[in-house]
Amino acid sequence: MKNTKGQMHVLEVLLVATLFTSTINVAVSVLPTSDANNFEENDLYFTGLEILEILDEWAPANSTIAAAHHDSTLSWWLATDNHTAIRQYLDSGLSSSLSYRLEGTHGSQTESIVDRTVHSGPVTQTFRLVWADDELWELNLQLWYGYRED
Amino acid sequence: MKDKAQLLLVSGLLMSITLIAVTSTITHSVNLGNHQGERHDITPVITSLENSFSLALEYEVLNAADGTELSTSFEVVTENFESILASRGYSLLYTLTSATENNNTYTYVYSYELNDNTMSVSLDKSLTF
Repeated sequence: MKNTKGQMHVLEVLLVATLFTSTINVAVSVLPTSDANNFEENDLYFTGLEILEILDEWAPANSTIAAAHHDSTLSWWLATDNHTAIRQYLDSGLSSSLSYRLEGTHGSQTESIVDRTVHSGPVTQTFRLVWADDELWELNLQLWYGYRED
Repeated sequence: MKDKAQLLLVSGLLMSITLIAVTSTITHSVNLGNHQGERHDITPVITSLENSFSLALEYEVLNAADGTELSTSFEVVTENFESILASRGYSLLYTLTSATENNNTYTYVYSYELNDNTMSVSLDKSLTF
């Protein structure tokens, strides 16, 4: 009699433990992880990083210009204030459902390179360091979902 | 009395095992959830550093005041880069191994470690200009 009672007790403990473990497992699987990175923002971040990287790695066709600007079209356009070309490049490289604003900080000054009205929704910021015109430029590209202004 | 003690022991053990299992499951799931769908690629940051750091260092050395130590120029440039990267959420650390000058030819041997809190890359570099 005593033995049966003991076995029942063990079984009860096992049951409670299993139920508890299962409940926690279901809760962890179903509940969202609040501090996880947002997938869309993560995607935008890398889109921005890569579009600036491609322009930086893209050597100008003219060898004299390429040599003067360290084989970087981004450096060349920044040094010559060719903001129109940068804007055309970003417009054609980014999806039409994305809008953006590009700023550059060099020395102690920050200038707007491509200025568009910042959307009120979440903005993702990416960056790139570029050596242009004997200065280190810290480019800040803000990206957000929304149609661009013409 | 002995049976009761044994039962208590078994129950205690089972509860302990359950607790360990639950704790590790939660930890694992949370870690997995945190990084699910995330992309980790520090290649764009590395190319940015590779392209601009050497040019910045060369400019700093060639335009430094007379008598400036080569290691001082290195520190000035690295502090700037490390500070910018820190503000962007990356940990960057440059370590100078040696810096020499021979007939206006400068050679820097250094390494840097870049970390985005998930992955870390360490590179050894040699720069001559």
